[in-house]
Amino acid sequence: MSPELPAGLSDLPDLSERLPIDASDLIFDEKLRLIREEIEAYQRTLPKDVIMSSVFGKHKVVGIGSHPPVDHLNSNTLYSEPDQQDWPPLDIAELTSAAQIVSEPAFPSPGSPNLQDLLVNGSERTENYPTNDRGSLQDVISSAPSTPELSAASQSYLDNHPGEKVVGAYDRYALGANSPTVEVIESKLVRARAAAEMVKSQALGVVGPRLEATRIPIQPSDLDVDSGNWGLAA
Amino acid sequence: MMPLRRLIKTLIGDVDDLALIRQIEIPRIVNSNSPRYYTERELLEKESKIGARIFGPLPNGGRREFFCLDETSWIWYEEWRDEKGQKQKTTVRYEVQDVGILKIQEGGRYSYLEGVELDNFVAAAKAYHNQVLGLMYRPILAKA
Repeated sequence: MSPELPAGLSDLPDLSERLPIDASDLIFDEKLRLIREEIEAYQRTLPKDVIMSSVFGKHKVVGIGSHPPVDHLNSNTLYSEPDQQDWPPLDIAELTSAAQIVSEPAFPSPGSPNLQDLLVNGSERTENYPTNDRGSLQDVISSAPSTPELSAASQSYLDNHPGEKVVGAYDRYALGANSPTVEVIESKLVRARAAAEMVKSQALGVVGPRLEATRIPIQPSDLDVDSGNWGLAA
Repeated sequence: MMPLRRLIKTLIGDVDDLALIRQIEIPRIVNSNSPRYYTERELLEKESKIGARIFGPLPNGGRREFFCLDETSWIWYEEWRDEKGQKQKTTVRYEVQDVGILKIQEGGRYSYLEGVELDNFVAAAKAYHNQVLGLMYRPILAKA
Protein backbone atom coordinates (compact mmCIF):
# COMPACT_ATOMS: atom_id res chain seq x y z
CA MET A 1 0.00 0.00 0.00
CA SER A 2 1.38 3.34 -0.93
CA PRO A 3 2.36 5.47 2.06
CA GLU A 4 0.40 8.30 0.47
CA LEU A 5 -2.82 6.42 0.95
CA PRO A 6 -4.70 6.13 4.18
CA ALA A 7 -3.07 3.61 6.40
CA GLY A 8 -6.44 2.33 7.50
CA LEU A 9 -7.33 1.10 4.04
CA SER A 10 -5.34 -2.04 4.35
CA ASP A 11 -6.94 -2.76 7.68
CA LEU A 12 -10.52 -2.75 6.52
CA PRO A 13 -12.05 -6.10 7.22
CA ASP A 14 -14.01 -7.97 4.62
CA LEU A 15 -17.51 -7.51 5.90
CA SER A 16 -19.27 -9.20 3.06
CA GLU A 17 -20.04 -12.27 5.09
CA ARG A 18 -21.12 -10.41 8.19
CA LEU A 19 -23.82 -8.17 6.83
CA PRO A 20 -26.90 -8.45 8.95
CA ILE A 21 -29.11 -7.47 6.06
CA ASP A 22 -31.13 -10.07 4.33
CA ALA A 23 -30.58 -9.19 0.71
CA SER A 24 -33.66 -11.04 -0.34
CA ASP A 25 -35.62 -8.49 1.61
CA LEU A 26 -34.43 -5.77 -0.70
CA ILE A 27 -35.27 -7.19 -4.08
CA PHE A 28 -37.22 -4.48 -5.74
CA ASP A 29 -39.14 -6.53 -8.25
CA GLU A 30 -40.67 -8.49 -5.46
CA LYS A 31 -41.85 -5.28 -3.86
CA LEU A 32 -43.44 -4.14 -7.07
CA ARG A 33 -45.31 -7.39 -7.23
CA LEU A 34 -46.50 -6.88 -3.69
CA ILE A 35 -47.47 -3.30 -4.45
CA ARG A 36 -49.50 -4.44 -7.38
CA GLU A 37 -51.22 -7.16 -5.42
CA GLU A 38 -52.01 -4.90 -2.50
CA ILE A 39 -53.28 -2.06 -4.60
CA GLU A 40 -55.52 -4.35 -6.51
CA ALA A 41 -56.80 -5.82 -3.28
CA TYR A 42 -57.47 -2.46 -1.73
CA GLN A 43 -59.13 -1.14 -4.83
CA ARG A 44 -61.58 -3.96 -4.54
CA THR A 45 -62.26 -3.70 -0.85
CA LEU A 46 -61.58 -0.23 0.45
CA PRO A 47 -63.23 3.14 -0.06
CA LYS A 48 -61.76 5.29 -2.77
CA ASP A 49 -59.91 7.51 -0.34
CA VAL A 50 -57.58 4.77 0.82
CA ILE A 51 -55.61 4.07 -2.28
CA MET A 52 -52.57 2.07 -1.59
CA SER A 53 -50.63 0.20 0.95
CA SER A 54 -47.48 -1.50 -0.09
CA VAL A 55 -44.82 -3.57 1.45
CA PHE A 56 -41.25 -2.49 0.93
CA GLY A 57 -39.29 -5.22 2.54
CA LYS A 58 -40.01 -5.08 6.23
CA HIS A 59 -41.60 -1.67 5.92
CA LYS A 60 -45.15 -0.84 5.23
CA VAL A 61 -45.89 2.02 2.88
CA VAL A 62 -49.33 3.41 3.24
CA GLY A 63 -51.12 5.77 0.94
CA ILE A 64 -53.95 7.95 2.05
CA GLY A 65 -56.13 10.10 -0.07
CA SER A 66 -57.77 10.05 -3.44
CA HIS A 67 -55.35 9.06 -6.08
CA PRO A 68 -54.39 11.56 -8.74
CA PRO A 69 -54.14 10.81 -12.42
CA VAL A 70 -51.33 8.38 -12.30
CA ASP A 71 -49.49 9.71 -15.29
CA HIS A 72 -49.06 12.93 -13.36
CA LEU A 73 -47.34 11.29 -10.46
CA ASN A 74 -43.91 12.28 -11.52
CA SER A 75 -44.55 15.57 -13.22
CA ASN A 76 -45.06 19.14 -12.23
CA THR A 77 -48.58 19.06 -13.52
CA LEU A 78 -49.62 16.86 -10.69
CA TYR A 79 -52.95 18.08 -9.43
CA SER A 80 -53.04 20.95 -11.82
CA GLU A 81 -56.77 20.38 -12.05
CA PRO A 82 -57.75 20.79 -8.42
CA ASP A 83 -61.44 20.84 -9.11
CA GLN A 84 -61.48 17.60 -10.93
CA GLN A 85 -63.45 15.11 -8.91
CA ASP A 86 -63.46 12.06 -11.08
CA TRP A 87 -59.97 10.84 -11.34
CA PRO A 88 -59.22 8.27 -14.00
CA PRO A 89 -58.95 4.70 -12.88
CA LEU A 90 -55.72 3.86 -11.11
CA ASP A 91 -53.29 2.43 -13.58
CA ILE A 92 -51.25 -0.08 -11.67
CA ALA A 93 -48.52 -0.43 -14.25
CA GLU A 94 -47.96 3.29 -14.46
CA LEU A 95 -48.09 3.75 -10.73
CA THR A 96 -45.50 1.11 -10.06
CA SER A 97 -43.38 2.50 -12.83
CA ALA A 98 -43.63 5.97 -11.37
CA ALA A 99 -42.82 4.63 -7.94
CA GLN A 100 -39.53 3.35 -9.24
CA ILE A 101 -38.28 6.66 -10.47
CA VAL A 102 -39.59 9.02 -7.84
CA SER A 103 -36.55 9.68 -5.73
CA GLU A 104 -37.52 12.99 -4.20
CA PRO A 105 -40.79 14.41 -2.99
CA ALA A 106 -42.50 15.50 -6.20
CA PHE A 107 -43.48 18.80 -4.68
CA PRO A 108 -42.29 21.00 -1.89
CA SER A 109 -44.76 21.22 0.90
CA PRO A 110 -44.78 24.82 2.10
CA GLY A 111 -48.23 24.48 3.53
CA SER A 112 -47.81 21.20 5.26
CA PRO A 113 -44.58 21.16 7.18
CA ASN A 114 -46.09 19.22 10.00
CA LEU A 115 -47.26 16.39 7.87
CA GLN A 116 -44.05 16.34 5.91
CA ASP A 117 -41.99 16.34 9.08
CA LEU A 118 -44.08 13.69 10.63
CA LEU A 119 -43.81 11.43 7.67
CA VAL A 120 -40.11 11.92 7.33
CA ASN A 121 -39.47 11.67 11.03
CA GLY A 122 -41.85 8.80 11.28
CA SER A 123 -39.92 6.98 8.66
CA GLU A 124 -36.72 7.79 10.50
CA ARG A 125 -38.19 6.31 13.62
CA THR A 126 -39.09 3.22 11.70
CA GLU A 127 -35.47 2.75 10.83
CA ASN A 128 -33.78 3.76 14.03
CA TYR A 129 -35.98 2.89 16.95
CA PRO A 130 -37.28 -0.30 18.45
CA THR A 131 -40.46 -1.70 17.02
CA ASN A 132 -42.72 -0.34 19.71
CA ASP A 133 -41.62 3.21 19.03
CA ARG A 134 -42.20 3.35 15.32
CA GLY A 135 -44.35 5.87 13.62
CA SER A 136 -47.86 4.70 13.14
CA LEU A 137 -50.49 5.28 10.55
CA GLN A 138 -52.55 6.88 13.25
CA ASP A 139 -49.85 9.52 13.65
CA VAL A 140 -50.20 10.44 10.02
CA ILE A 141 -53.95 10.42 9.91
CA SER A 142 -54.34 12.51 13.01
CA SER A 143 -51.96 15.12 11.69
CA ALA A 144 -53.35 15.46 8.21
CA PRO A 145 -56.13 17.88 7.40
CA SER A 146 -58.77 15.60 6.11
CA THR A 147 -62.33 15.11 5.06
CA PRO A 148 -64.76 13.12 7.14
CA GLU A 149 -64.83 10.54 4.41
CA LEU A 150 -61.09 10.19 4.42
CA SER A 151 -60.97 9.96 8.17
CA ALA A 152 -63.61 7.30 8.20
CA ALA A 153 -61.91 5.33 5.49
CA SER A 154 -58.55 5.66 7.13
CA GLN A 155 -59.92 4.64 10.48
CA SER A 156 -61.51 1.65 8.86
CA TYR A 157 -58.18 0.76 7.39
CA LEU A 158 -56.51 1.13 10.75
CA ASP A 159 -59.10 -1.03 12.44
CA ASN A 160 -58.38 -3.75 9.96
CA HIS A 161 -54.63 -3.36 10.10
CA PRO A 162 -53.68 -2.95 13.75
CA GLY A 163 -50.09 -2.00 14.42
CA GLU A 164 -49.51 -0.69 10.94
CA LYS A 165 -46.11 0.87 10.40
CA VAL A 166 -45.60 3.88 8.24
CA VAL A 167 -42.73 4.74 5.99
CA GLY A 168 -44.37 7.16 3.64
CA ALA A 169 -47.68 8.27 2.35
CA TYR A 170 -49.45 10.14 -0.35
CA ASP A 171 -51.86 12.69 0.95
CA ARG A 172 -54.01 14.71 -1.29
CA TYR A 173 -55.25 16.69 1.66
CA ALA A 174 -51.94 17.90 2.97
CA LEU A 175 -52.78 21.47 2.11
CA GLY A 176 -56.42 21.19 2.90
CA ALA A 177 -59.40 20.35 0.77
CA ASN A 178 -59.33 23.68 -1.02
CA SER A 179 -55.78 23.28 -2.14
CA PRO A 180 -55.41 19.67 -3.03
CA THR A 181 -51.82 18.68 -3.38
CA VAL A 182 -50.20 15.37 -3.38
CA GLU A 183 -47.06 14.79 -1.50
CA VAL A 184 -45.00 11.93 -2.67
CA ILE A 185 -42.89 10.89 0.22
CA GLU A 186 -40.28 8.70 -1.25
CA SER A 187 -39.69 5.26 -0.05
CA LYS A 188 -36.22 4.95 1.34
CA LEU A 189 -35.58 2.02 -0.84
CA VAL A 190 -36.43 3.80 -4.05
CA ARG A 191 -34.37 6.77 -3.04
CA ALA A 192 -31.37 4.70 -1.99
CA ARG A 193 -31.53 2.75 -5.23
CA ALA A 194 -31.60 5.91 -7.32
CA ALA A 195 -28.69 7.35 -5.34
CA ALA A 196 -26.66 4.20 -5.83
CA GLU A 197 -27.22 4.31 -9.58
CA MET A 198 -26.17 7.94 -9.68
CA VAL A 199 -22.99 7.37 -7.66
CA LYS A 200 -22.09 4.36 -9.76
CA SER A 201 -22.42 6.36 -12.94
CA GLN A 202 -20.16 9.06 -11.50
CA ALA A 203 -17.58 6.43 -10.56
CA LEU A 204 -17.65 4.89 -14.00
CA GLY A 205 -17.13 8.34 -15.46
CA VAL A 206 -13.87 8.63 -13.55
CA VAL A 207 -12.53 5.09 -13.65
CA GLY A 208 -12.62 4.92 -17.45
CA PRO A 209 -10.51 8.04 -18.06
CA ARG A 210 -8.18 6.99 -15.23
CA LEU A 211 -7.42 3.75 -16.99
CA GLU A 212 -7.02 5.56 -20.29
CA ALA A 213 -4.57 7.98 -18.68
CA THR A 214 -2.30 5.12 -17.62
CA ARG A 215 -1.70 4.34 -21.28
CA ILE A 216 -0.30 7.69 -22.26
CA PRO A 217 2.81 9.56 -21.14
CA ILE A 218 1.90 12.52 -18.96
CA GLN A 219 3.95 15.54 -18.06
CA PRO A 220 4.25 15.67 -14.27
CA SER A 221 3.40 19.36 -14.34
CA ASP A 222 0.00 18.40 -15.72
CA LEU A 223 -0.65 16.51 -12.53
CA ASP A 224 0.85 18.92 -10.07
CA VAL A 225 -2.24 19.12 -7.98
CA ASP A 226 -0.31 20.69 -5.11
CA SER A 227 0.51 23.70 -7.20
CA GLY A 228 -1.47 26.72 -6.24
CA ASN A 229 -2.50 27.53 -9.77
CA TRP A 230 -2.95 24.00 -10.96
CA GLY A 231 -6.20 23.44 -12.74
CA LEU A 232 -6.86 27.12 -13.30
CA ALA A 233 -6.16 26.79 -16.99
CA ALA A 234 -8.45 23.83 -17.34
CA MET B 1 16.94 0.98 1.25
CA MET B 2 20.41 -0.28 0.41
CA PRO B 3 23.19 1.88 1.90
CA LEU B 4 25.15 3.86 -0.67
CA ARG B 5 28.42 2.13 0.10
CA ARG B 6 26.95 -1.33 -0.40
CA LEU B 7 25.15 -0.24 -3.54
CA ILE B 8 28.36 1.06 -5.07
CA LYS B 9 30.19 -2.06 -4.05
CA THR B 10 27.53 -4.16 -5.69
CA LEU B 11 27.69 -2.16 -8.89
CA ILE B 12 31.35 -1.47 -9.42
CA GLY B 13 33.27 -3.49 -6.88
CA ASP B 14 35.06 -2.58 -3.72
CA VAL B 15 35.62 1.13 -3.28
CA ASP B 16 37.45 2.18 -0.16
CA ASP B 17 37.73 5.82 -0.84
CA LEU B 18 34.31 7.27 -1.16
CA ALA B 19 35.88 10.67 -1.74
CA LEU B 20 36.52 9.50 -5.26
CA ILE B 21 32.86 8.87 -5.68
CA ARG B 22 32.05 12.40 -4.68
CA GLN B 23 34.18 13.64 -7.55
CA ILE B 24 32.11 11.81 -10.09
CA GLU B 25 29.71 14.14 -11.76
CA ILE B 26 26.44 12.40 -12.25
CA PRO B 27 24.66 14.18 -15.07
CA ARG B 28 21.10 15.03 -14.50
CA ILE B 29 19.64 12.63 -16.96
CA VAL B 30 16.07 12.83 -15.78
CA ASN B 31 14.13 15.97 -16.54
CA SER B 32 11.63 16.28 -13.73
CA ASN B 33 8.96 17.31 -16.19
CA SER B 34 9.64 14.69 -18.80
CA PRO B 35 6.48 12.88 -19.80
CA ARG B 36 6.17 9.50 -18.21
CA TYR B 37 3.59 6.83 -17.64
CA TYR B 38 1.64 7.01 -14.41
CA THR B 39 0.23 4.01 -12.65
CA GLU B 40 -3.40 3.81 -11.71
CA ARG B 41 -2.40 4.14 -8.07
CA GLU B 42 -0.45 7.32 -8.73
CA LEU B 43 -3.36 8.84 -10.58
CA LEU B 44 -5.65 7.83 -7.79
CA GLU B 45 -3.48 9.67 -5.30
CA LYS B 46 -3.78 12.81 -7.41
CA GLU B 47 -7.52 12.37 -7.59
CA SER B 48 -7.66 12.09 -3.85
CA LYS B 49 -6.05 15.48 -3.44
CA ILE B 50 -8.82 16.95 -5.54
CA GLY B 51 -11.41 14.92 -3.68
CA ALA B 52 -10.20 16.23 -0.35
CA ARG B 53 -10.87 19.78 -1.45
CA ILE B 54 -14.54 19.12 -2.09
CA PHE B 55 -15.26 19.31 1.60
CA GLY B 56 -13.59 22.63 2.21
CA PRO B 57 -10.44 23.58 4.08
CA LEU B 58 -8.78 21.27 6.51
CA PRO B 59 -8.25 22.18 10.13
CA ASN B 60 -4.67 22.66 11.25
CA GLY B 61 -2.86 19.38 11.53
CA GLY B 62 -5.56 17.61 9.62
CA ARG B 63 -5.40 15.41 6.60
CA ARG B 64 -8.12 14.15 4.34
CA GLU B 65 -8.42 11.71 1.51
CA PHE B 66 -11.52 11.20 -0.54
CA PHE B 67 -11.43 9.17 -3.69
CA CYS B 68 -13.23 6.72 -5.86
CA LEU B 69 -11.31 3.48 -5.61
CA ASP B 70 -13.19 1.64 -8.33
CA GLU B 71 -16.67 1.37 -9.82
CA THR B 72 -18.26 0.47 -6.51
CA SER B 73 -15.94 1.70 -3.76
CA TRP B 74 -15.30 5.14 -2.36
CA ILE B 75 -12.93 5.94 0.46
CA TRP B 76 -12.97 8.78 2.90
CA TYR B 77 -10.10 9.17 5.33
CA GLU B 78 -9.77 11.94 7.86
CA GLU B 79 -7.04 12.77 10.32
CA TRP B 80 -7.35 15.46 12.96
CA ARG B 81 -6.16 16.55 16.39
CA ASP B 82 -8.56 16.28 19.28
CA GLU B 83 -8.82 18.73 22.18
CA LYS B 84 -5.82 17.14 23.85
CA GLY B 85 -3.74 17.42 20.72
CA GLN B 86 -3.86 13.70 20.13
CA LYS B 87 -4.00 12.55 16.54
CA GLN B 88 -7.25 10.90 15.60
CA LYS B 89 -8.15 9.23 12.36
CA THR B 90 -11.02 7.48 10.74
CA THR B 91 -11.49 5.58 7.52
CA VAL B 92 -14.85 4.99 5.92
CA ARG B 93 -15.48 2.85 2.90
CA TYR B 94 -18.62 3.33 0.90
CA GLU B 95 -19.75 0.36 -1.09
CA VAL B 96 -22.19 1.06 -3.88
CA GLN B 97 -24.71 -1.73 -4.19
CA ASP B 98 -27.80 -2.02 -6.33
CA VAL B 99 -30.02 -1.38 -3.36
CA GLY B 100 -28.14 1.55 -1.85
CA ILE B 101 -24.82 2.75 -0.54
CA LEU B 102 -23.36 0.79 2.31
CA LYS B 103 -21.18 2.72 4.73
CA ILE B 104 -18.50 0.59 6.31
CA GLN B 105 -16.60 1.99 9.25
CA GLU B 106 -13.78 0.61 11.26
CA GLY B 107 -14.82 -1.59 14.11
CA GLY B 108 -17.36 -3.49 12.10
CA ARG B 109 -19.93 -0.72 11.93
CA TYR B 110 -21.92 -0.62 8.75
CA SER B 111 -25.16 0.96 7.66
CA TYR B 112 -26.89 2.09 4.53
CA LEU B 113 -26.75 5.81 3.87
CA GLU B 114 -30.02 7.64 4.08
CA GLY B 115 -31.48 11.08 4.48
CA VAL B 116 -29.18 14.08 4.40
CA GLU B 117 -26.09 11.91 4.57
CA LEU B 118 -27.16 10.11 1.41
CA ASP B 119 -27.86 13.41 -0.35
CA ASN B 120 -24.50 14.76 0.69
CA PHE B 121 -22.67 11.70 -0.51
CA VAL B 122 -24.33 11.84 -3.89
CA ALA B 123 -23.45 15.54 -4.14
CA ALA B 124 -19.84 14.75 -3.21
CA ALA B 125 -19.64 12.00 -5.83
CA LYS B 126 -20.95 14.37 -8.47
CA ALA B 127 -18.50 17.09 -7.47
CA TYR B 128 -15.66 14.59 -7.47
CA HIS B 129 -16.59 13.37 -10.92
CA ASN B 130 -16.87 16.87 -12.31
CA GLN B 131 -13.66 18.17 -10.82
CA VAL B 132 -11.48 15.14 -11.43
CA LEU B 133 -12.71 14.84 -14.97
CA GLY B 134 -12.67 18.54 -15.75
CA LEU B 135 -9.43 19.49 -14.05
CA MET B 136 -7.41 16.36 -14.50
CA TYR B 137 -8.38 13.85 -17.15
CA ARG B 138 -9.99 15.95 -19.83
CA PRO B 139 -6.94 18.23 -20.25
CA ILE B 140 -4.55 15.28 -20.12
CA LEU B 141 -6.45 13.17 -22.60
CA ALA B 142 -7.00 16.15 -24.87
CA LYS B 143 -3.25 16.62 -25.10
CA ALA B 144 -2.64 13.00 -26.00
